[in-house]
Amino acid sequence: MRVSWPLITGLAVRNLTRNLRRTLITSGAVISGVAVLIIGYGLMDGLDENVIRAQEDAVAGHVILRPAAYPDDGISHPIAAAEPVGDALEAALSADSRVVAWAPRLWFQSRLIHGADAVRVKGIAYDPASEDAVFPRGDWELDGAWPTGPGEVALGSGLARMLSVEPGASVVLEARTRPGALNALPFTVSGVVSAHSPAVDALSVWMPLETAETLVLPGDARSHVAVRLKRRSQADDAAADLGVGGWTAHTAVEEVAGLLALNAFRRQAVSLIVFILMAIAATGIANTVIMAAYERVREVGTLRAMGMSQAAVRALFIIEGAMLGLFAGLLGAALGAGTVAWFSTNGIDIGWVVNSLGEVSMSTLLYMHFSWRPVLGAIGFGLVISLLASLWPAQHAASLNPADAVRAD
Amino acid sequence: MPICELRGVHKSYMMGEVKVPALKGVDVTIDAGEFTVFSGPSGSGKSTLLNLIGLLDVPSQGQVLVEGRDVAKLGERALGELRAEKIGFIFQSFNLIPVLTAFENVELALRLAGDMPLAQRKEKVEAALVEVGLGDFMTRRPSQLSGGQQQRVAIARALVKEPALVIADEPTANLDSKNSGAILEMMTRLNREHTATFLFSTHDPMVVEQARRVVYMLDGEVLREESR
Repeated sequence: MRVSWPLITGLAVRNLTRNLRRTLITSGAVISGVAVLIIGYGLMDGLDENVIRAQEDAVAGHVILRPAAYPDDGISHPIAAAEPVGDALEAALSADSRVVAWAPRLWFQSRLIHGADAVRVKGIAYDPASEDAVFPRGDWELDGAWPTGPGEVALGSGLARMLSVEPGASVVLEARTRPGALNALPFTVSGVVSAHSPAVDALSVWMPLETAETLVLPGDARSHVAVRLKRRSQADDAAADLGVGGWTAHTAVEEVAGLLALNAFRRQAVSLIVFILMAIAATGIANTVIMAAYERVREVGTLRAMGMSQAAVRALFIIEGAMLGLFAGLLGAALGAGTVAWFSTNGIDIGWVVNSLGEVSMSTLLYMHFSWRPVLGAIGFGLVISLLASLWPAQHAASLNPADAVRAD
Repeated sequence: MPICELRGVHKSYMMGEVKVPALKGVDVTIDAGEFTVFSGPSGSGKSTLLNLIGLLDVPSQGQVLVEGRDVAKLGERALGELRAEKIGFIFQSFNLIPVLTAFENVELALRLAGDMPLAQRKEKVEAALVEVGLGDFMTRRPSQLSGGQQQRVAIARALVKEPALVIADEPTANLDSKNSGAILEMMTRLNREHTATFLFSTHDPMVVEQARRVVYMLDGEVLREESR
């Protein structure tokens, strides 16, 4: 008899319902493995995206430019190292069709005094005319208003929380000017800003470049130019082209390479957990199919006596294992994909973790990243594991001697 | 014309490292349409003999010819096809597939025997079950049937494909005397009405009494034969 697939498949389905409790318990292991795989990778992809987006949307745009001599450690911001943007860079930015907008910024070190408290802070001076085109400020949280007059600044939410400062409060900023003198000026806090990124929320004071001119006298020197491109995928090529006029260019992804490397390590840890879960699932499936093969010796003998070929018996047990894996894989995928899809739109507040990490470039809202690739991969993985786990029991059943098997107890 | 011939058949099994002879040079010829019983005590070799005739096993020595074909020259696939088309089995423990209904158990024999249109298959299965008195029990699973009813399903399953040979290994051993009698009567009737050859192994005197030919076996050899 050639293998009749409808017959074999029908028998396999019936056999899976024969011991429903065992089938469900075995399925549970596969469901967990597949769901954890999808959720784990959704979380890891979300973390990567979170880190990159936080950098793009609050700090760097897609590409960030710095004067060649400017430190790139993200910690020190010497105003003396700031440079004018210059004609060559402006021309390159204007001529590049990938560039949607660019915004110059001046980051400088300062000290904020509020009552008896004094804290070292990072001044971020921006160009109000170009800032919104590069950074999605509409998504940021603002308590109060952005500074509109020369005597106003906005504080990062972390700093405001630390000093218990609210809009309307008076503070003093002390900073060294670009020529080297020490200067101090009083300001009113117009608002408290949260860009959902501790890199700019933790210890920053926001002010227009015009205001910075009165405090640190930079002239036309800038420490950064943030560039928004049409697409993130253009960043590598754009960075290679825009590093001109004594400025160096880096992509936002390069800026957070350390954090991404850490995520890659976490991803390996998730893979290990998934591998362990899948190994448990494979053992469960192998056990289920082995039990089935041993319990149904007489049945196999009867099928062989009725003319079913060894290949068909082998196929029957393999299909049982595969269907178990596929059924559980689909359920696990639905569970995992549903979870990832929900958290990809609703987000998880991880501020309690991120804020404790200091000025790290991560959003306090983590959105899982939904992608079909891990979903399909997980289903395929579950199926392959099930197939592999069924091979030996299937071979055992197929090689039973029908004369002995028909009389087995 | 003989449907089956055994010529000098020996069959031995290995029990650990010890070779145990089950058949010692058996010569038997079965003609088409016979109702033959192989009788003898446990270990006499009757089940081994039926295994060889039913193509479930191959001899260690000698020839088994089914419809003139030497089974030793047939591969596993050809043996399977021959079993599916030509041989119906009835077992002591009924051996129904528990996850299938009575109808599906009988239908399985037809599906394994080859392609047949669904309507024709349905008609044949229903007729077979009606013939064994189970027309009202088609949708029941084996666990919902009595022992006698299960054996009737097994008989319908063996006969539905109209085999040349029906092999029944101790078919009444697990039944009470009332069911045994009914099953036996049914099989003698079916043997008369169908052209199939019926071969039994049994030590049930009631079955032996019904047979037209009895082959008595002892210690792997044919002791004597009786024809009625």
